[in-house]
Amino acid sequence: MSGNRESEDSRIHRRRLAQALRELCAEVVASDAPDEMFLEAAETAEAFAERLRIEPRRVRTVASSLEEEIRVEGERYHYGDLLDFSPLAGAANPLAPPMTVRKEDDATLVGRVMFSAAYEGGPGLAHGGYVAAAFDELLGLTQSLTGEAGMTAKLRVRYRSPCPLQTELRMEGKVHEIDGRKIVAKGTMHAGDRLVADGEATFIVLEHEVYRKKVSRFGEK
Amino acid sequence: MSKDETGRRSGPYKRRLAAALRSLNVEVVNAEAPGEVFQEAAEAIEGFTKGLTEQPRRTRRVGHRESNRDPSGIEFDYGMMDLSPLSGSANPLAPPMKIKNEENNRVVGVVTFPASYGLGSGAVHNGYLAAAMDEILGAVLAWMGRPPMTGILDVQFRSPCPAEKEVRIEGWVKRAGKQIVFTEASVRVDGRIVADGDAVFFIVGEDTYERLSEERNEKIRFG
Repeated sequence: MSGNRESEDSRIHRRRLAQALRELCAEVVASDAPDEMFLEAAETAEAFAERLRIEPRRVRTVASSLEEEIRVEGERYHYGDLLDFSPLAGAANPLAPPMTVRKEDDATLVGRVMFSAAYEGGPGLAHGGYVAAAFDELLGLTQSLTGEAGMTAKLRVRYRSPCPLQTELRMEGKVHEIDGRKIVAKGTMHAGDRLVADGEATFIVLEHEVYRKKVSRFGEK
Repeated sequence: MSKDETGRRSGPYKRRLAAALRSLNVEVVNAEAPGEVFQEAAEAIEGFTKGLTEQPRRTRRVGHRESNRDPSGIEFDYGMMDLSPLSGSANPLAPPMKIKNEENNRVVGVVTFPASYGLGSGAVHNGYLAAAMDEILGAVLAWMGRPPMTGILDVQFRSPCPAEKEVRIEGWVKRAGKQIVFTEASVRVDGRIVADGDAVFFIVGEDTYERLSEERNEKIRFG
């Protein structure tokens, strides 16, 4: 491993803070509160941001082999610490809704995501850009079921019906084609029985050593 | 009527809180702190959330044109758009991207994504680049006074887009019909294209937009 694994205590409380921030971000957007409430919260958040800024920077950990980096334990799908800190699926990243994923079979991943009020685009609807972002995440994780690490080269999303807020959305991604270093994955997003969108992405496979070096470089900064 | 319903910007304290949370969102991802520091912050934040959930819900300006643009016709961060999850300075999820209208219905967004918008490789998550392109192309239509819904979004990623660097996204109309508009966009860093794409938008019409806004507000008022 490059970098140190964080302690269990730190991991648990980081995730709790991320969840608390996720909920407060939604409330900032959704509520119409008196100025003094926003001000008091702002001063506290500023103080904690300042407090955390003096701490050492987190080092991204990368396994020495791809088999160790991408693995399944029971229903839980792992991709290094990517799934902890991803801005879409990361439980430790407040930007993430977060999407949860589990492996259905060797070529299929199922994702679940619910967009809060903070993700509103059109009136009462999830922002179309975040729907696209969710597809990039799910299909990117889907292509890794092949055992490879790939980067998105192309993404196409077709919006079939409005995407509701505060509703659990079920996504499914499947590996569609493998052609040398090119992997194509396709997916769908449903709200109940209704198709909200479908997507397709093409990925270019990176050698694990190249991937590991790219990620490790971030840790060295 | 709530203060947000008038179409004015969100108040300065909401914006300040959004900015503070934006900084804290970055630190949660980047800092390697003892568990008790995260715990103390979490407890304080949870307390504020509880207080805000007891407050009235924000309703949304019903009209489309007046809710998007400031009277000068230059800045986009206005009315409901200041709550956008990509460009809204009152939304802590937004980096935020600054959007300006240029000549000939070209819209330009300038944004610097912190490292927390990436996957740890120093590059911005491609999904967020796609989202930013959707925002810019939607803004082109909004500026023309034509409320849009994205139909198809196609993005080609040419090279990794670095975090912590200024990104310039430009969007324009390629071809416009009565109900369907074809648009294109480019994403550049230091003048170099890192992504480009196109999108097809369906024009929903101001009446439909107003109906959706009213339905949304009713749902919030009555649960």
